[in-house]
Amino acid sequence: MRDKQKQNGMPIRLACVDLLFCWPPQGGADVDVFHVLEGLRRSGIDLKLFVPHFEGVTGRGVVDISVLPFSCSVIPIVQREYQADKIIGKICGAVDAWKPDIVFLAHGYGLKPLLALALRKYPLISRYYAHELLCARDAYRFKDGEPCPYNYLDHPDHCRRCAFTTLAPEIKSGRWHAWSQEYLLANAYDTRYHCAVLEALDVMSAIVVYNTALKEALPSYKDKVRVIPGGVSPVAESSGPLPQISVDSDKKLLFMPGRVEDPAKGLSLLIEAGARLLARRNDFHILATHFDPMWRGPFFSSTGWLSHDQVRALYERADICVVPSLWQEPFGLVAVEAMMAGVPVCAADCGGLHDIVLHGETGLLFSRSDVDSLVYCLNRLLDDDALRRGMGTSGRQRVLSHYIWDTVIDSHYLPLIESLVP
Amino acid sequence: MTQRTRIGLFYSYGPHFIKTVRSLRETHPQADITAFVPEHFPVELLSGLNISSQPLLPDTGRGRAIKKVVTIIRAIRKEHLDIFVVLFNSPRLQLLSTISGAKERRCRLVDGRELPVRLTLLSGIYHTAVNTVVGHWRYARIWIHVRCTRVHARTTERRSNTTGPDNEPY
Repeated sequence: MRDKQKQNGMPIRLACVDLLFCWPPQGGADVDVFHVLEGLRRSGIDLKLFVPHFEGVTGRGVVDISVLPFSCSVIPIVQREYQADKIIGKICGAVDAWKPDIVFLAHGYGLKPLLALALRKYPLISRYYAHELLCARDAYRFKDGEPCPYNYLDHPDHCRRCAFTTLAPEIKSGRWHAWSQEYLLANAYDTRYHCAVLEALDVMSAIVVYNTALKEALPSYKDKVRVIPGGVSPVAESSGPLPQISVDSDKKLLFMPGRVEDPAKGLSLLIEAGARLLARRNDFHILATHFDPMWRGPFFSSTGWLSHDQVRALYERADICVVPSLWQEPFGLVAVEAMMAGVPVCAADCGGLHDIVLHGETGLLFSRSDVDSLVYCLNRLLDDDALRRGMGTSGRQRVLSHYIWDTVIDSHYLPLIESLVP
Repeated sequence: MTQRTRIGLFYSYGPHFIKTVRSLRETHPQADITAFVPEHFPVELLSGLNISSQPLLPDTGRGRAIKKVVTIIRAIRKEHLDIFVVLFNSPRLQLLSTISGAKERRCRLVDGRELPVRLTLLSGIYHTAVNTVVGHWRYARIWIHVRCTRVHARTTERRSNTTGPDNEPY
């Protein structure tokens, strides 16, 4: 592969700053960052990842550098430095010392806009992994079982009050998670913070989101918003042994992978649909990757925690992959992984799933939170073996042509980076 | 003959219980491991890993009566554990670790890290109290700010063609 170079023949230098990165990964964003940086490095970009490690805070900046294929610098932040200006000063100092041509801002919450302003002298690409730009209380923009119609950019006072009410228990107890920690460090409750967010969006050269619905939610920035999907590895790597599951072999397996215990993922909707299906047929079993092995019933059960290899092995046993998300799923990696394994997907027609699943071709889309629609789609798929096989094959083809990491890097990230380098 | 290490693992509702069970068995293949789990926990998941279970805890979501708590503590202490492992670093679990009688007390976090549970009972109470007082003070300060201030209209006017309840939500 040709090394990506500037006009003077030197390789492009890219600094990536991720405020939450962990490796081994703690979530989908970490995996996304890893693959993007690995792909860019293989394309000849000289890059370095900068990750702050917050002393005494669980689940951020815990990185095993020895296994990363790219250069990474972990910046220790001790407790006496827990002030936004000190943290940002330390990160900027490290980035400046490396002299990048371009800065990629990966995962982060409340501190990210302040960091963008501090790094404004560089061309900035800011990647958003969920709704963190539009929601002040978490990255879900999901409230009372429904996607929230408000957004922080347009309704700052409503969102400030909502965020404060939601985060109050953590603020009072002094035991913070990553979101509330950055909320407090960045003074995200302050009226001036809204101004800082808008200014940060102005200084960013490109804003990267996962799906077209998120792009449409940012009409004022439509010229700089790019929709770039996530990806999967090119070949189905050898999957591990099938985990112990107590499902009759004659039953068709409806598999729901992912963080299913999260109410926004819609497991309750699938169970309701299963109960209705059970009135008509008994040839299926719902298996979900719920972490709690005690979650089980007459037609459903959980696997407990599984490694990624074990999940891949389960895809091979699954007949249908169900993704009944109730929130606006930003991407929907599980749908792509299922399609890669040749499994038809039955997914809610929302967010990134709308872009990934082609209705009637690689799976079936049903109206979000509509149990009747889900039952109809599941019945249709359970009844027709040929339809399932055909959709599985088409799904795999779609993933191979659109969602392989090399394709995502070559067709989205590299042109974007080259367009911004002076 | 050397005595085998006795390890106790206390169940908490969290994503890393099974992960921790497997990792403990891998790192201590010869140890006697006992898991203290809820009454209706599927113990076959543990017996496959040669881990004995004590289904003493109330099922998730049910309250814990004082009598039950005493029974649980007695059962833990009766095991004469060398290592006691909890899954969260909360004051309650720190207290339980302290009175478990184990020689070593550890906390396995969600991200796979293992921390020693160092706090003694008194310092645990002290830290919780300080955090709570400072946290309530911070809460009051932010409450006043959020309730008494508004974002300047000029900043919202900068955005046109916006989405939201007044327009078409996406």
